[in-house]
Amino acid sequence: MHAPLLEVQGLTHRYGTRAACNNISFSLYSGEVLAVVGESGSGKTTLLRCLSGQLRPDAGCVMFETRNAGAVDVWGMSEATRRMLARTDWGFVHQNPRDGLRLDVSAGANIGERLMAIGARHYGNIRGEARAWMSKVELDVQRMDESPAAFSGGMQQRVQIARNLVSRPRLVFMDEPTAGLDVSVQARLLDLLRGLACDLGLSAIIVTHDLAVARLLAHRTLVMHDGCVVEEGLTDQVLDDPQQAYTQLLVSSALPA
Amino acid sequence: MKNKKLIEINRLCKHFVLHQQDGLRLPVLHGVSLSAEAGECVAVTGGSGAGKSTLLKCLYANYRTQAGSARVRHLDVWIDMASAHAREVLAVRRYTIGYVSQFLRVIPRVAALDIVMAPMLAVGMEAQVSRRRAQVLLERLHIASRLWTLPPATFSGGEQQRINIARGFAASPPVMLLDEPTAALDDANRGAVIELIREARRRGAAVLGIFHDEAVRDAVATRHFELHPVAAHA
Repeated sequence: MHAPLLEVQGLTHRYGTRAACNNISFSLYSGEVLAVVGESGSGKTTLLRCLSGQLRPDAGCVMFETRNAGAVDVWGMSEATRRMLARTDWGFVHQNPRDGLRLDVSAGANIGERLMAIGARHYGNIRGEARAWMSKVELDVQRMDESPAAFSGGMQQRVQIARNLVSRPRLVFMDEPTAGLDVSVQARLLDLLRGLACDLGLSAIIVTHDLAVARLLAHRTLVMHDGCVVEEGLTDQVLDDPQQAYTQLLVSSALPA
Repeated sequence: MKNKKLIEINRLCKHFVLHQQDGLRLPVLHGVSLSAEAGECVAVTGGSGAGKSTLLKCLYANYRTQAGSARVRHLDVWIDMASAHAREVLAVRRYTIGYVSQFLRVIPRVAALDIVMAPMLAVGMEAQVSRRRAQVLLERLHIASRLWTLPPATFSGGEQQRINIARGFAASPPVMLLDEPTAALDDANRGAVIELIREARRRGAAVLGIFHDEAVRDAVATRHFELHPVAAHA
């Protein structure tokens, strides 16, 4: 049995006296997609930022299994090492694609940039990869030299996903990746993500308030409420046989999906 | 293969607690014990609300349980689905259990043929072989070939149910859980499903099924197991 890719123990983050994340522990194994569900303000995004090296937790540790050096404490390393790890091993898909893209350069350059950040130098190869990823996320490759500023929200989100996956990260964090989009665009993007997760054996943590997103994409689900994990398990178990009062309320409040 | 036990449920208890109804406690299964061997088809019987579907869902670990065990022989190791880790449960579902639920949960944009192929690809069968077997199954279940490349979202209830059946039988899993597989089907398709279940038994699968249709039950079941509703105070 392999070691977990990510192991979180007792993670706590407070804003003033209020704990946005309270003593959270869980493991993620390679090839697993984990959904973190809960309502606005439950601490989902704070958790994701603490896991992905963007926000230092007040207590607890986040251990990441590196390719060569075994498990390392994400918050016990230098800022520079953490940034390098984020570039080489992680991806982060923001809810608003504009937070994860550079709008002053072309779509193709947005995708290729990640490869250059990890040392790729051959222009033709980079462009070839960017083109391949444009088509993997179902974007018209003819438009790779246009700025994503001119793209629709759904297209921008596809560019952001391509930009994150092109460097083959070992773990992808996603914060409400489909939340800002029209329902029809959402469905296509979800299906694209589902296909990519299957084909690439993606390890991912997806924060969402949408239970249908969890059902479609995630093997396992954590339910957060008031900064605590109140329930966790296989996604279909959590959604079909919720045990905790809060989860039952959440599941029964959702429109059938 | 005969006399090899593949399913062993022991004193299984399951109740639901409805927190939004002042913690109302609904007992469904109380001390249920049942085992099944290779080649057997056990028909789970009992009135509506007796817990037939719940029993299957507990064995699939779709529902959690409060006491007892629900063990399945997985690659020659007994795994208790009631207490197994999520990753173990997923492995058992992939390699050992074929579960045909009452309704197909459609995945947007995925074609019928791909849905049926998926469980075979998941256990490492070659794409060509998987495609051929999926086609054979869809033909046997009378799904017109013009529908194979379409996502089943727009199919009729009976067509969706047959896609579900084809998917459940595709990878020839050693344990099969069938929740009213023939409910929405006409005579010709009922016959096709009966034949699939008999074949599964012949290759040594243990089948646990709910069959409301008596003719189907008589045609496939080797024995019956009756569930009784649990008294509310149990």
